[in-house]
Formats: sequence, C-alpha cells, structure tokens
Amino acid sequence: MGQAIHLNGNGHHEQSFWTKYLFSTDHKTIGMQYIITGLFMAAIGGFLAYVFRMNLAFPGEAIPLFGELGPQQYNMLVTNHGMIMVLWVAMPILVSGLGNLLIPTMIGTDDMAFPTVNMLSYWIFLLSSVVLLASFFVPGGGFAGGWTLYPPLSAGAYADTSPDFFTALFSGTSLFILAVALEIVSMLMGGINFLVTTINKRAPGMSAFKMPVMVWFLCIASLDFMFSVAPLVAGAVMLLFDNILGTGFYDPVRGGDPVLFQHLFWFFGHPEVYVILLPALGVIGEIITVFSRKPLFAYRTIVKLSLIAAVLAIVVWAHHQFIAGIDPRMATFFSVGTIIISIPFAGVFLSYMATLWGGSIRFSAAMIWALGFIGLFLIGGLTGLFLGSNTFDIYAHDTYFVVAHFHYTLFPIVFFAFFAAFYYWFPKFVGKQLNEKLGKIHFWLTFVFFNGTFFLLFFNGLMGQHRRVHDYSLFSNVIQEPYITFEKISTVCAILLIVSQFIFLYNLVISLRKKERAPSNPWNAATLEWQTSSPPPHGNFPVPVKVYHGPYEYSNPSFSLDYVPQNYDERIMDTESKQDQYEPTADIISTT
Amino acid sequence: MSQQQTLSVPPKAIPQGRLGIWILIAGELVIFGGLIAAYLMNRLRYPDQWSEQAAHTSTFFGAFNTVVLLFSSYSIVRAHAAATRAQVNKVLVWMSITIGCGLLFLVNKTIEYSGEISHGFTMTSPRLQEAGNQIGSLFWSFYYTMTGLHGTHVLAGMVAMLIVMAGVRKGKNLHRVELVGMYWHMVDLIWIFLFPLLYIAK
Amino acid sequence: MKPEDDEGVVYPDPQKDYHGHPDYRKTLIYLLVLFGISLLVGYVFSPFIAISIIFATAIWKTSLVVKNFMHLKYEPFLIWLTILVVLFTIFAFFWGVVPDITMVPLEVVPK
Repeated sequence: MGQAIHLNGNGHHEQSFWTKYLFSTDHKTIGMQYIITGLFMAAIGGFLAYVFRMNLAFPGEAIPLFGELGPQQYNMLVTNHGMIMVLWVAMPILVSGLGNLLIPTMIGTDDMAFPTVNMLSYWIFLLSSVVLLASFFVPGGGFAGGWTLYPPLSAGAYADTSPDFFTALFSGTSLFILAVALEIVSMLMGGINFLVTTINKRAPGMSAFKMPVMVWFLCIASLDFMFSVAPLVAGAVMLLFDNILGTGFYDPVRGGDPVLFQHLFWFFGHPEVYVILLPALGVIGEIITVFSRKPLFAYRTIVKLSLIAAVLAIVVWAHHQFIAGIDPRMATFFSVGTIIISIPFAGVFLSYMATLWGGSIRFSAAMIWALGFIGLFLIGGLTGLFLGSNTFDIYAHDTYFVVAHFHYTLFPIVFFAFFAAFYYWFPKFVGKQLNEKLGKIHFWLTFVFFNGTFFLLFFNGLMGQHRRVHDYSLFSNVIQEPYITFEKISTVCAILLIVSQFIFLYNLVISLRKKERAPSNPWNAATLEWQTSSPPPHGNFPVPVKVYHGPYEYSNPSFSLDYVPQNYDERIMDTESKQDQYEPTADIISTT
Repeated sequence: MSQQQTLSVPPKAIPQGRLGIWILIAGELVIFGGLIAAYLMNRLRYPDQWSEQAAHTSTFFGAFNTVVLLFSSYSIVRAHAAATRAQVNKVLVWMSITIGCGLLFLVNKTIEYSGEISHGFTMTSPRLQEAGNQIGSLFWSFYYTMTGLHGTHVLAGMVAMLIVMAGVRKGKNLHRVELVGMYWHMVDLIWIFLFPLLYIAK
Repeated sequence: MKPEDDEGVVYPDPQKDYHGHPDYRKTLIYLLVLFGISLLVGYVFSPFIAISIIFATAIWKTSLVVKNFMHLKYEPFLIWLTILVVLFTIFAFFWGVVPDITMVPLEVVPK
C-alpha cells in the first residue's frame, strides 16, 4: 500500500480550483467538460426543435416561450438545429467526451499522450460553441440556408446588401462557417490525441486484440473523421472567401461550381455518420457483454468488419446528391456502394445478437437503453437501404421520409447510446450510483415518445410532404387530413419527449446529492476501467497495471468469479492481495 | 519491475511526438489534397483560359522560392542531426538559417504578389471580370487561396521554430527540433506540387 | 542503419537513436538536379511530354524528401499505411468529383 501511495503522489501536485475543474489537463475532467457542454448545446438544439415543430403543427400561431415565427426565422432554426445536433452534440458527447473518459482508462494508462493539446482542443470547441451562439444575434440573424451549407445560399447571398468586409465577416453566415471550422479543428486535435494514445500508451500486455471494442471503434472513427473532414476544411476556406472577399469558387456565373461544395461537404458529411455510429456501437458492445455475461461474439470479425466499413464510408458520399445533377454513371456506383456498406454493419449487429443469445441477461437501465438502440437503429438502417437506391431516392429526396430516416439513425446513436453509456459509466467517473428505476422510466418514456414523434413522419414523407416548407396550410391541396393530424401527433410527442428528459435531470441531481459512494466495480465488468477506484484518481491507476486477459472473459468455468478482470494474474495473486488490487477505493484516496 | 520494463516498451515503438506529427501531417496533406484536387478539376475543365492566366505568373520567383525551400529543408534536417548529438550551438545556427530561408520565401512572395496585384490580378480580379473573363478571374482566386494557405503554413512553421529555439537555447526539448523539422518538410513538399501546378504547367 | 552521418561523426550509441541519418547533402543535390530537369524540359519536349516529366520529377522529389528528410524509410509499416490512406483519400475524392466538374461544359453568362 505504501508503494501505491507513493506512485499516486508522484508528479501530481496539489491543484487549485481553476486548474482542477476549468483549465485541467486531466482527461477525465476534459471528457466531462465535453459532455456537459454537449448536453447544454443539446438543450438549445432541443428548444429550437420544439419551436419549429410547434410552427409545423400550428402554423401562424404565436408559440409559447418564443412568440411569432416568420419563414426566415423558421429556416434559421432548422439550420441551426441540424448543425448543433450533429457537430455540437453528437461529436463532443460521443467521440470527444466518451473518448477522453474511456480511452486512457480502458487501455490502462495515466492520461492522454498530449494533455495540453487535449485541453486546447476543448477550449477551441468551447470558443466554436460561443461563436455559433453569437451568430444568432448579429444583425440579419443567424444563418438560414440549411445545415448542409449549400451555396449559393451560404456563399455571397448577401453580397449585394453588405459590400464591405467587416459587415460580411460578422454576418450570420460567416460566423456559422467560422464556428464549423473551429469545431473541426478542435475535433482534429482530439483525434490525433486518441490515435497516438492508443498506439503508444497501452498498458503492458494490452495487445491490439485485447483492447475493448470501444477503443477500436473510437480510433477507427477518429481516423475516418480526420481523413474525411480535411477536404471540407479547404472547402470552408473557399466558402468563407466567397462570402467575405467576393470570390466565385461556387458561383457558376464566374466559372465556379456549387456542386463542388456539395461534394466537399458530403465527402465529410457521410463518413460523419459512421464517425458517430462507431463509438455508439462500441458502447453497445461493452454493455451487452457485461449484462448478458458472455464474451463478445466474433470480436476479431467485428473489428475487421468495422475497418472495411471505414474504408467504404469514404467512397459512398454522393448518395446525398442524387438529385443535384451528378453524373448518372457515378450515381449508380454510389448507390451500389451505399447498399454494400450495410453488410459490415449488419455483421456487427448479428454479432451483437449472437452475444445476447443464451446469455444470462440482466435488464439494468444501461442494458435496456442499449437494446432500445439496437431496435431503433435497425429501423433507421433498413430505411436507409431504400434511400441508398437512387431510383427510390429521387422520389423521396427532401421529404419527411428522409427526415424520419435520419432521426431513426441519429437519435438512437446520439441519445440512446449516450444514455446507455451514461447509466453504465456514471458510477465509475462520478462515483455515485444513478437510480435504476428512474432510468428505466426515462427509457420507456423516451422510447415511446421518440417513436411517436418520428414514425408517422415516414407516411407524411411518402405522401410527398417536403421538409423545407415552413407552413403547409399554404398548400392545403397537397397535404390533407390524416397527414395534418400526423404532424400534430408528432409535435405533441416531440414536446413530451423533451419533457421526459427532465426525469433524467432529476435523477442526476438526486444521485449527485447521495452520500454513499459507488463501488469500484458495480456491474462486475472485466475491462480495465473498472479495476480502479470510482472515480479513478488523478493518474487513473494507483499501481501500474499489466494486462493478461482479453476484455470479455465472462462466465469462464475455470474461475471462481464469473468474470476475469483484464489485469488478473493467476500466477502471483492469492486471495488477500487480490482484494488489495481490486478494491483500492477509499483508503488510497483519503491518504493522498 | 523488471518484468514491467520488458513488457512495456515494444522493440520499435514510434516516439510519441513523431507519431503525433505524422498523423498531423497526414491530415494537413488531405486538406491541401482537397484544394489541389479542386484546382485540378477546374484546370482540366478550362484548359485554355487558365493556361492563358498561368502565363502571367512569374516562373522566376516560383523557381527561386523552390530552391529556397529545398535548401531550408536541408538546413532543418541538419539542425535535427545536430540535435541528436546535442550540439546546441550548431542546432541554433542551422535553425536560424532555416528561419532566414522562410523569411526570404515570404519576402519573395510579397514582391511577387505586389507585381501581380499591380497588373490587376487580385483575389477577385475585377479588371478581368469587367472584360468578361470570369473564368480567368477564378484562376487567380485559386492562385491566391493556395499560395496564401501555403504561406500561412510557412509563417506558422517559423513561429513554431522560434518557440523551439527558445527551448533549445536553454538546452531543453532537443527532440522538438525533429518534430518542427518534419512539419517544415511537409510545407516544402506541398510547395513542390504547387510550383508545377501554378507556375510551370502553362 | 548507418552509424554515421555525412560528416563522418560516429553516433555514441546507434541503438539509442530511433532512426539512421542518410546522406543529407547528397539528397539535396539530387533534389536540385531533379528541380533543374523540371525547369528545362519545357524548352526541349512537346508540352504533353514535358508536363508528364515535370509531375514525375515532382513525385520523385516528394518521395526523396519524405524518405530521407522525414526518415520514412526507417518507419514501421503503420506510418507507410497512413501515407497510403492519405493518397487513397485524395484519389477517391478526385475521381468521385471529376465527372461532375471537369466533364460538364458550362455556359458562362456575363453579368
């Protein structure tokens, strides 16, 4: 024990409030900063969604908490809702937040490879959020040209009204592009950190196929993000110049081409879906193995399939542009690629099903969130198959069918997987146990109201309702009775969906006020992050860990426990020292 | 603890800084790759109009800058070689030469830009546009964006080198010379491609 | 791994050094010669051949810088793979977009 205390104190001096909670280089603090900022942005994005859903259901009426809504404002809300939810909620929560918390603890090291870069990455991210929120309040309002930033709406659309440089620079459009660019820079820095940490800082004995599948998926996601986003950085610079200097990169009148920007955007935008899907699948993989007490089925195959998917993800982007006038020969290629990319993910899903098969399943809150993810994402993925075929896509493009499909994929990825992760890892990183019963109530309400919000929109889309029209009472000959009611049901469910998140907040508050600490390994999980105290001390592991076992050795009949911790060394440990190794909770922390 | 040692360090682990810089370089190369790809597509789309504009770029300045950057790559790698032998003074001399080369590059670029601007070739080239040559003005937008982005990287590399030199003077962080050098080589090899694309291929 | 650099200074411990040091001066001369070729071919050959040679020398120069100055030749397969992924990404982007930009004739309407 004495040695442990010495190692723990080694190099980690006393910290003031500022260095501990704000300008921290500790990966756990940074991860939580990302998640808190992401949840704050999610609240803003949710509020925007509430406002425009109210407008869709009750057009022309004043909206409670907001007031009158005009068409320009409606476009602004939809645009910012889209970009906030993808870049300021999904990315920080799933990739940066969970990545920061989990990568160093899962591979058994003390911190990220470049802690200062990590801190810088968070502060750039925060700056980008501030710039984005500031863009709502500049003269002329926020950017309203759709979250995909297509020119000409995003490029020099206001050139005639604001010829001078600074007015153009501080317009909503330019600030929006700047915020996106800053966010990308921040995520790139985080991605470099993840990759270097995973390649170089693994604990001794942690070979590539002893890493939990979550670490694999986070690294593949970082790699995919880095390579897919880079052309968009160049594209965003060109778009910004179009806006503030009046160049014509995307202006057909001056020899440019708006389709070029669509390609640059979707070259990033499509892999982005897989960038946030992979960490979500990682979360699900971790949770279903623990709660069905079985090893992950076909672990190596899952990793290989996701590598194949990561390569394929880079070459299928143009299926978002089937009606943009792209070359029909290429459209066929992208259509086939899109359908092929479902095969690796189907493989991953089947492996997860096979993991559940015959396991002794415990329906904890985290587990039912994970199962909810699997069910809902399946609907999203299958509707994606139709949309990938260009013959159907030309019919359904820009209708509510696409909106419903998109939300059936992204909502489970961002919220179901995140809440699964939250209920699972909260005791580890905060040190308090969440209330399981409230977590289950939260799940069922979210599940029901989510389906209520989006399922009927499939039918609205199939009957032809266009997604960018702010007031369908102007087109009463197009959209008729059952579909108007569907809109209203959807809006009511969306409001209830938002309201049911307050259960989560209530659960969070009462859990934080609890006195009793969470045990270090409440779920009897085998991966490394559970083999230290809750929350892990600064430096994560009081004693440097060595890894002898794979991450999913559950129900092995040759051991007395039903799980084998990754750092369990049967040669040197008797029962007593095992106790020291696995329960280093209170006494070490109190002495340092 | 001896078992720890044998387990922990694989025989050929890439040093952490080098690995990070390699990944950074990979990302930067794709950024420039996207820009160059966009340029190339337009170049192939308007072969005649753009080669007419490219004839106005100064091959002399471009060639001179290429030599400067190739030599600065050599000098920074010599600084790195000196750093591995901990010869602090030599490192400082070679790094100063490299920064001097960077400065020379930027001065050249400024003279070149001012010549082009005085002939009416700017970011938007209003004179070309008024003459009805919109496609030609797009070439200059690409020209200034690509060389400007590259010049920004040169400037960033020089600032990074000054920061590294401040550490080297105190005899600290000599390994950073190699890292900043790798970044500088990347800047060099982007120029190796920009030069034929913008200046020679007419 | 060469234990000495171009000045003939022997390394104290080649085992400790992560990579060897190729002859930098020779590499520089090589680069300058290739650069001279790329400048001169324009006066000798027809434009198409000249441009092919120019880009071939550009690629050759890049590989020299990456292999010798950035010491890629001493790196493990992982780094080579990263560079390959970079090339793959750029080519995928180029060939996916080229039919929609280059192969589309555009009527430019003056304002």
